[in-house]
Amino acid sequence: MKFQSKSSVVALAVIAAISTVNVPLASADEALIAKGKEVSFDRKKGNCLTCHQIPGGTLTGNIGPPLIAMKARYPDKAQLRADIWDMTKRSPDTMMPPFGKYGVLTESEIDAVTEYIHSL
Amino acid sequence: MKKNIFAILASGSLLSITPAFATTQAEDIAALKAYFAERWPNVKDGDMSNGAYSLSEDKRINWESMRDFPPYEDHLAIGEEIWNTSFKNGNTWASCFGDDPSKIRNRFPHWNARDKKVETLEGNIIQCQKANGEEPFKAKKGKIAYFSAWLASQANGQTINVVVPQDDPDAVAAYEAGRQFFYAKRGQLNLSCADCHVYQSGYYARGNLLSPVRGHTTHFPVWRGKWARSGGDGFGTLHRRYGGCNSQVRAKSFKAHGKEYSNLEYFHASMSNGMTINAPDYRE
Amino acid sequence: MKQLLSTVLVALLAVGMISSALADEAAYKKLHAEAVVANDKAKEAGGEWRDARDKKSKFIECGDKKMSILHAAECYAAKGDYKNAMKYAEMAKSQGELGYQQAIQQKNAGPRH
Repeated sequence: MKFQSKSSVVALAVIAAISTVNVPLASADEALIAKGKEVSFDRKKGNCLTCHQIPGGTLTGNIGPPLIAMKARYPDKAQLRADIWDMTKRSPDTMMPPFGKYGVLTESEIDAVTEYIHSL
Repeated sequence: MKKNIFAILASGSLLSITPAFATTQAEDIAALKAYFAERWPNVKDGDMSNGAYSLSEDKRINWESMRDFPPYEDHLAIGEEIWNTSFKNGNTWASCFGDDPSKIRNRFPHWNARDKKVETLEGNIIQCQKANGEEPFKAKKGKIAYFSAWLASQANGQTINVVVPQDDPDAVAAYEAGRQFFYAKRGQLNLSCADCHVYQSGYYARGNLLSPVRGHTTHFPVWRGKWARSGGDGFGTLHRRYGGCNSQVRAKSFKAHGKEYSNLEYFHASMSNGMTINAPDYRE
Repeated sequence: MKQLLSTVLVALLAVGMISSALADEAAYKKLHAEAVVANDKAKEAGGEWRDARDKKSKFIECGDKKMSILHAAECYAAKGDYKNAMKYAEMAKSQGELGYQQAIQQKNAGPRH
């Protein structure tokens, strides 16, 4: 009896632990988006504003399309990531640097940028 | 039958050695003029020597107010002094370039058939100093730019006409190497000169309005606000600009007045044929 | 007896550490040599990148200085930090290979207007 209650406490604790994981998951997304924004705006990293308008970005260029309504333009997030990684694959003459293929950004930076851009 | 096969093989191999762009200098200039005329029907060809300022009224107003009090007058005066100063061995600049300072700028760049290479004004200034036992100027800024800018100012109003002798395959090859350099993507950012200065000219990269290649070389050396802010004065030669551009796309820059940039200048200056010299000038 | 045993153990450990450090150094040197070859090839093709190994580059920090990627590899190797030395030697090698491929791809570049 005593044993049983102990194990149910453990079970409860496990359930609690699992359910609390969900909360930080949401904020982990936010943290990833925040990191993505930082990398996107950094002139030595993504430097996206050189060519793209992004809400909240100042002194932006107009070589590429404005980055808005991205979920509508990229229903498939993986395609967005692939384009950031190497746009020349779909469009050899593009102005957009192949951020992943040429190692301008790291894989984890590209994950973060994808998350951020897709949120716009 | 056998003969036919050989003929086919022969023509195939001929095709493979034909350059991808077998156009002449004249055809390249005509195509570029037509391209810009179609994009900006209201911009006069001659006005493109004013770069991006030919494309934006706002930018033009700022630029014109900068030119009311040109920041480079004192440096032009140094350039004139250099022309009037003899070498230690008693020779003058005229021994290399002739007596008339207004007839120098527009002879460059040109093909030197004997040495089989493109000669540039700044490259020959350095060569002249070396030949006379003088310590040569630094290659990209400072005195070489003041001197070159003064020489260019003496040639203002003259029409640029870079000649590529079509009967000299080496000259044609140098021109084509320059053209390939201009259109080739390079560096970690994978951008070509043409990406910004042909296809995206007229668009903004951040706050910078990208200038069309036609008219680029009419006003060099330039005084750039950006260079003036980075320490020292704002004067720089064309090859300084090449190095800066290459470095911005994260490509290793080449030596000023070396073969790569001299060939590039041969093509690049050709694209301004028919335009008038208006040097030096101010740029953002 | 106990003392002898621990002395032997310490000695064995030391030998192990030294030999693994030697292995790291050898692996780094091999990668460094490959990076040099890759960038020589890129140079030959006219396709070297700015930060791979140019003395003027200020791309990677090592100590209180900024330098090219390959110089950073050397700087970390000199400090015995083979983890970073390998990382940057690999990066410099990759830049050499990519710069070479790019130059070859662009060999026939010309106007498309």
